[in-house]
Amino acid sequence: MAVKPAVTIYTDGACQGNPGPGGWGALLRYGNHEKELSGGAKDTTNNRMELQAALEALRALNEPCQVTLFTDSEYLKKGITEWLPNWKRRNWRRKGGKLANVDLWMQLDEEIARHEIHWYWVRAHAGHTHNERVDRLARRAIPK
Amino acid sequence: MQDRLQYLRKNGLACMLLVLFVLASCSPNVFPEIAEPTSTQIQVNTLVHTATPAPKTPTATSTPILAAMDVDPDELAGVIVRFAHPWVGEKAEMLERLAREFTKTNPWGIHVQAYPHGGETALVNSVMQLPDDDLPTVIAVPAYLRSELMNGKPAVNLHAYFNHPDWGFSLEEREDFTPVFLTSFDAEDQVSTLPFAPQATVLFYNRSWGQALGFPEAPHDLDAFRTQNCEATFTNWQDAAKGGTGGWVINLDARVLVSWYYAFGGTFSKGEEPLFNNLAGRDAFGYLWEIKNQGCIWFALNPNHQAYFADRLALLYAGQLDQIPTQMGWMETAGNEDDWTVIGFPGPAGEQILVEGPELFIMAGAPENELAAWLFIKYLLAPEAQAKLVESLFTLPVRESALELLTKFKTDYPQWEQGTALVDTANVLPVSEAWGLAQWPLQDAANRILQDENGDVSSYLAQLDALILDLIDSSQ
Repeated sequence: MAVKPAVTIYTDGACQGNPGPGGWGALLRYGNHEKELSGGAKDTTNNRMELQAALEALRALNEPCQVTLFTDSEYLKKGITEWLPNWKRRNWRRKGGKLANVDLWMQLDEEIARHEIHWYWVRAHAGHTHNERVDRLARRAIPK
Repeated sequence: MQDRLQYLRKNGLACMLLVLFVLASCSPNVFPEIAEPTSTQIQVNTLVHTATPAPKTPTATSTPILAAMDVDPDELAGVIVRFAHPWVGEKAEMLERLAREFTKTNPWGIHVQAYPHGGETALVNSVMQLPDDDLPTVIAVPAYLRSELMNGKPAVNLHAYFNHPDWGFSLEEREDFTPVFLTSFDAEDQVSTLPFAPQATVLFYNRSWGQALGFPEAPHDLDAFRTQNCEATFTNWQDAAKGGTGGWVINLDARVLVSWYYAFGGTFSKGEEPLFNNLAGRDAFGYLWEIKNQGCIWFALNPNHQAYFADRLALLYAGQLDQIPTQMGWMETAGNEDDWTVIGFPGPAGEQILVEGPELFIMAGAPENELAAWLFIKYLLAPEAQAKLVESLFTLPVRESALELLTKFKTDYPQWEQGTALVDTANVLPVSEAWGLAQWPLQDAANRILQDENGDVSSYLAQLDALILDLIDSSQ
């Protein structure tokens, strides 16, 4: 069985207002190679940008990989690793109506199935070089 | 004051722009194996005893029998109580010593075996994997984790033991408990937990530096908190190497955030979800955003705030009483002889502190096992055991009479004694299983609020509450 490429990903989202214009940034590292990705939306939320960052980073992988993904969002990390199974079991619905950001969670669920992913939460503002870098990417990507 | 605030804002902004410029000039390498992202289509979504350490066989009758549980004390001989707790290292050694002492001194022949675990999550995961016939008898976890850990398994109603005329606490003993530590216990009707080692979240304050800055008293209200933090920050800006430091080091730990919430009059009602988009929540986070925006409190790179405090880079930081000995060490290392203390979180509701920690409950089992477990719990709650726990864990004693046994400790650690003086202002974590879910998005939301340029607090809190409700709903 072939060994999957080991890729490290850092993601972050940012928003001016909530909702408001927002941006996301991702840094993908494979061996000595790295790639920055970013994007934005005019009217979004910080949580959507956190999810979008991870989604776009995973989508950018051309083949199934062993991924180590770092985020400063508890929403993203715990959502994927703890909450998502319950959401799926309940058909992505909650009693009071629609689950927030269900469109992105469903896409992420599909995307993570391709890879072997280890999710890590890092404290924001703690001097993690790459976390700071994707934070800047996300802020720069906020539409003016 | 306004001039100083403008000065802080101007210098902070200048530094930030410089860093952004330097970093923006780095050109990233290309990673050809990774495809370009497709165009982004974002949708708008918007926790009694007399002075004797070990319980004695009750004397009302020579062999009292708990009719409801049909237990004769003779049946307790040889019963093994398995005690699972979340601690390792010195803390675990202390509990091991207490377990050995109880085993050696109890008159019924009960044996206690302590099982340490590396944290609350590890304990829950470990216990959940055990078959029903191999579960620990007594477990110590925060009350909000109990339900997850129980997973449908029955626990014992401790009220029946707590108030039992033979095996429970006397009226005098019950009145010896500090009321706040029975908040969770009193709130529950059937399955119940008892705290035995509550820890307090407080603010550490450098009194000497405060006085040097012109403040004779610690900041006990919001205006004083703002003024002292701004002054400390302004003072440190005079030294280029200390620019941006000086005030309270922002701490996004959920216990700290909830402490602020309480200080602003926030409450959590029994049986209700822990939500924050209310007047107290908006005021608390609004206030923090405001003084952050004024440049008077700061995000630190190092999560260990004790060194900053020892180096006069932080006039205040939030922490727990068990950080007192390490703070003393940091002060010694820094050659700093400043006088420092602990205070509560200031707010319109008056100074408040938070107390929390593992609570004890008993898994349902054979009547003799349950009674043996209760007798061990009663031993842990006796003033003597409480005093030993305090000396090891820097917790607060759940029994007021334990304080009389801690005379030397109070002298050795005056800040701990100052912490005990704040217990009348103490609050507990929400008596809700939902707290286990709510604490994580709360930290996220606070981070976003304090970073937001516009201070749109309510929208973040609305999003936070919606997410908490989503999580509660999907966990059921």
